[in-house]
Order: sequence, then C-alpha cells, then structure tokens
Amino acid sequence: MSQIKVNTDLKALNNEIAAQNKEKLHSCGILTVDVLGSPGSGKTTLLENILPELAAKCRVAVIEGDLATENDARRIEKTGVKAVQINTNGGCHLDAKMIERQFEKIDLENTDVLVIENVGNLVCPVSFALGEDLRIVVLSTAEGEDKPLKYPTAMLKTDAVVVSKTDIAEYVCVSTDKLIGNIGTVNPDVKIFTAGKTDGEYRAEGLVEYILEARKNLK
Amino acid sequence: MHETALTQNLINIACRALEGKGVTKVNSVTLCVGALSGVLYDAMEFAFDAMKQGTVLETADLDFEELPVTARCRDCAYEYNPVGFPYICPVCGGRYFEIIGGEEVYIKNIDCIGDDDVVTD
Repeated sequence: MSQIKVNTDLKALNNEIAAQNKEKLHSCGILTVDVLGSPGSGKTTLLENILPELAAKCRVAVIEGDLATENDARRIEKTGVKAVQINTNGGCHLDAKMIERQFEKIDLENTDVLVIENVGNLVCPVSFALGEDLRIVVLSTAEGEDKPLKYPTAMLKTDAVVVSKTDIAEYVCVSTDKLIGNIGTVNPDVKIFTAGKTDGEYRAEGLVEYILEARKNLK
Repeated sequence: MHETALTQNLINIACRALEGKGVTKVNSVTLCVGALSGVLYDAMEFAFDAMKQGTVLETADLDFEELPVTARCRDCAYEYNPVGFPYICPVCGGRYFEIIGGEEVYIKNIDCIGDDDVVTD
C-alpha cells in the first residue's frame, strides 16, 4: 500500500482568489468590508441606516449576497448607493470567486469603500475569505445572550461586532450588557458597537467613523 | 452547511494528487479538520460518499483527524490549546491572544494501492 502526502488546504483556492481580490481592490484604493450575521440579524437595516452618512463622506458601492431575490439590492439603492446583487441559489455563503465576478459591474476606479453583505448565516461565511479588510458581524439582541458562546468562531474571526436591535432587547428578555459581556469573553480584542432606535431615530454610534478610519489607514 | 463546497474541493485536490501515480484502488483519505473550521464530520462524510462516485476515490473512506485550537499569548508568546472560554494563557494568565491554529481543513494523505506500490511524496 502506498501513502501519498497531500497537505493541501481545501480552502486554498478560495484564499488565493481572495488575495487577488484584495490586491485588485487595494490597487484602486478600496477598503472592503464584509458584513455577516444570521438571517434577520439586521444587516440590511444597518446598512440602510449608515450608508447615507458613509456615502456623504466617501464613495461607496455595495454587493448584496442572498440565496434568492433582489430585494436587498433594491433596498440599498433607495439610499442612493449603487448595489449589485448576487444570488447563491441556496448556497450558504459568498466565496471569493463570486466577488471577483462582480468587479466588472462596479466602478472600482471611483469607489473608496466596498461593502459586501454576506448571505445570512453565522457559520459558513466565516470560513470563506472574500478579500475583505474588515469583517463586521451583526448580532441582534433577539438572537439571545449566549450566541457569542455558541458561535465562537464568528466572534473570534471578526474585527467588530455590531449588537443590533438594542431597542427591543427588553421585549425579548435579553440583557444587552450580558450579550456584550459574552462577546468579550470569547474575543477580548473585538470592537463592539450597538445599533437600534433611540428616541425614534436609528443609531449605530461610531460605526461610520470606524469604517472611515480603516479606509484612511489603508493608504 | 458548506461541506458540499469543501468536499468538491477535496475531490478535485485528491484526484489531482493521484494523477499519473498508477493508483488502482484508493482505501482512504485522511482529512485534518481544525476545531474552529465549522466542518461537520457527518455532513462532510455524506457529501463525500455522494460526490466520490465515478471518481478514482469511489472505494475510499474519509477519515478525520481533529486539530485543536492553538492560541499564542500576546503577552508572553506562549502557545497553548485553550479549552472553553475565556481563553487564558496558562503561563502568565494573559487574556489577549492570536489564533494560530484550528481553522485548517486539509488533506493529510491518501492511502492507496498502486501498480508500483511505492511511497510518494
């Protein structure tokens, strides 16, 4: 019997394309942000609310990933930001090749920040690099306080977590403070933001500045 | 849930590695899976059994070797395998770390029978 040594990572090809994407995007001066989280965590709502402010300060393009429908791209375009939609037709995550295919649809030369909204899923997208500089996980209070402990890889492999729907936390019997504490238990380095309505207005304090700062540091 | 995509890569990589080696039968493929990789063994095995049909891997079993999470303490650089959260450095008690292992999913080796029956790197 023979033993053939292989030692090839199953994600090697994706990682390679992701590195090419990153190089291409950097050559155009683009900061890429991968936004991921469970279905219904409030990713699109967050983007709808921060994009007007972000787009007032830099040139933004959005790639929307979903299993089906163009609903999210339409929602994003209502904010005045151009969005292209990827339908994975059941696929549980975006991969680097899917992103690369969108480049011809985006005016890369006139973009400063590319926001990618991943398919709603707190597991699979974490394992697939796209070429992003920043990863932001959106975790809603409605998902429960213990989710950071149940989905630790998502917490470990992200730069920031946005705790969304803080305005309904009490109605779903969740303590936002405990939820934030659990995020810190898993990853003491992660940057944490909160998002939700305060006095009738949606706020995600500091998030736009955080993205702009990262864009500035790219140069 | 992404096991199908990974299994397709597994089959492509394994078939390429076996090309031109005169292999007549493949007994097993050993896959190293990091504890943070999010791979479900059952789902991977299920996908493998379905997707190996019609390939040189048709007769192969899929064996798993789990790789633990490895963290490097940012304060004292000690490398350790944390168990449960929070991760705390067993040497200095430091709370900050880099993850340096546990995300991998790679084919370690393929056991097979070939015409020449030699070990090949």
